[in-house]
Amino acid sequence: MVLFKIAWRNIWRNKLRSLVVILSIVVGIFAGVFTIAFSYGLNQQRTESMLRSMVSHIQIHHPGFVGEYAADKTMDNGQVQQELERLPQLEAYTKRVVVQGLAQTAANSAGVMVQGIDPVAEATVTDMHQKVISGSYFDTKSRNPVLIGTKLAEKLKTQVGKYVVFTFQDKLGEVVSARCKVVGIYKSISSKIDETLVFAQIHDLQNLLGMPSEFHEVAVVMQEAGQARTGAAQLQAALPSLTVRAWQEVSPELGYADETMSSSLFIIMGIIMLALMGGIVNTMLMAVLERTRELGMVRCVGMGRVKVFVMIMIETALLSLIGGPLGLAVGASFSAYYGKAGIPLTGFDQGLEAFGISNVVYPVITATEIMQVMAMVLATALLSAIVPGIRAIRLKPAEAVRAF
Amino acid sequence: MSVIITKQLAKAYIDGPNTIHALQAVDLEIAQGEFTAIVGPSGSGKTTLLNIIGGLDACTSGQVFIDGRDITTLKDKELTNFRLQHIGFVFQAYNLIPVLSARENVEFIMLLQGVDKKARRQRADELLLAVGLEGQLHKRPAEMSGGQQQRVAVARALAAKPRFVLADEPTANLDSESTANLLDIMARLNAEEHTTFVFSTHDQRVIDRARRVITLQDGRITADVYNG
Ligand SMILES: Nc1ncnc2c1ncn2[C@@H]1O[C@H](COP(=O)(O)OP(=O)(O)OP(=O)(O)O)[C@@H](O)[C@H]1O
Ligand SMILES: [Mg+2]
Repeated sequence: MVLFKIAWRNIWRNKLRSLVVILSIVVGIFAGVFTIAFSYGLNQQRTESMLRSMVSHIQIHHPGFVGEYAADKTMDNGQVQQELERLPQLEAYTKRVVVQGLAQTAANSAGVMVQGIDPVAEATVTDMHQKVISGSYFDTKSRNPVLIGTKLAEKLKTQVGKYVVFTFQDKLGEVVSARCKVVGIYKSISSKIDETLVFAQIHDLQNLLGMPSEFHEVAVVMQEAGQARTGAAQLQAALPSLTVRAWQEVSPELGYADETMSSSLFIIMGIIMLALMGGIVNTMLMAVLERTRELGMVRCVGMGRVKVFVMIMIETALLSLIGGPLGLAVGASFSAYYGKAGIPLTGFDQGLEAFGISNVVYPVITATEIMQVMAMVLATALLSAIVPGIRAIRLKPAEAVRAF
Repeated sequence: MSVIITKQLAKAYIDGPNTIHALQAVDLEIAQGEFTAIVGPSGSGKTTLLNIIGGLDACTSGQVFIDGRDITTLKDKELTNFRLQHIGFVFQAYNLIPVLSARENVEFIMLLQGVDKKARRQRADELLLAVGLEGQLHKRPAEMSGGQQQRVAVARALAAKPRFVLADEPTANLDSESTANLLDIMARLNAEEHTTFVFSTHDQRVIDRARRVITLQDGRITADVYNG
């Protein structure tokens, strides 16, 4: 196609100008793609570590327990275990007793959430056992051992081997207290967790609360986080008297984060595209102006408006179509590379931990996003071609050639 | 039968409070095979006349018949196509597409006409041979002299097999050697191929080569002389 050939050669008539435009497209799209990949990576990592440390994939409760933490809203083994075992993609599950209470030492007191866990089963569901930084993970013969977070230990001015008194209401509403030995101190991904969450052994708590075989919560891990919704639906159908929730419902902010992120990222991308479009349109208007006579001449000798428009359109679009895929390729390969190697965020560790994010980010970019960016590049290419194209065909041929 | 006939052709430009009568009551007939110069002082309306005959500009009143067809009634799109199929143009400068080679520039017109590639190539090469540029096929305009560029423009104008070629001061930017050379080529094409040429000029040496000289003054034809 000769129009294509002319357009292509015209681009290289002013090499520097075209290169500047192309380069800015490359850089803009690279930055956009990498920002998207980085943000998704950050988010995915946050989600996964939150799921791994706390939420798990599916949670089962007594309907009255959800949000209330009422000690008497319990369940017992009965059907639950049986239904769980029938779940095809089940990875692991664990039972918990959960109770709100007060932790006290001679130095201070603090409101806490105590989780009674089965240390062995719990380790298959969450990774708290890997987060112990001093003492041990219930590897003890002590009576009423507890695992507390670093923040709480600081607040209560206590340490491994010392005692903390916990007070809560039992199943019948009676106030009960227990003196527990701190056997370990953990540091999780979230300082909020470290400050409020205490782990005890499930049977200790069951005895204390007067509910020897009952529990409040079952946490389930599927083979993949994406299977949570179907698994939850299946369980819910089988256990109508209980509330079964996938992680997206337990922790809606984790699920929403993805959506809000993707829309805000596309706004960012849109802004980048708009800026690039401005540059492209400007450059091409300049090129059209410079070629007034030449364009007038081709109109005079019989080139129709449509062809002139298409010629300018191709030239404009080519700028984006050279720069776009290049930027996309660079952005995607950077993302892929750092998706493996990770980007260490040294210096931000403290702040990020509070958000439940660890300090190495692995950017993620999927084919879907690449396609979306590609579509945006194409749209930019075509949209930015319209104005210069119109300007080119508005020229009056006779006047354009007269303008000597 | 005349190729070009104008009847009471007038063109007025409104320029603020003034009306400039660039052409007034121009009646003109140009026959097949003519080699005609339009002359006259600057501002006398030469370019205006050529532009209107060439369908590049609209007249204020009057008619222009090309082969008996009134082109003043054509719509923009039809006019563009009419120019493409029937009229060859040579301008004073900026005749060529800078990013295309001599051969590609000549082929360009035929491409717009939809001539197939092989025929295009063959005709372009023949025409460039005819204007003495067989060695410059692959040169871009910037790599050629002004005279060579105008010869490519003539070849390009002929490529469309037009009914006539309009040339507005084709030699204005050329030295006398190139001017003579271009005129030789045009005269030969006129003699051998019976191509009709209508060109405007200020240059006495060019006027001397024309077989018919039409003089314009203030937009009116004041003389119409056949030489030898
Ligand atoms: N677009 C325009 N607007 C107003 N007046 C115009 C316009 N184009 C041409 N004219 C006027 O029309 C008249 C004829 O101009 P034209 O260009 O046809 O003269 P010309 O004989 O070709 O002159 P030259 O020898 O300088 O090329 C001049 O007075 C010119 O100023
Ligand atoms: Mg003129």
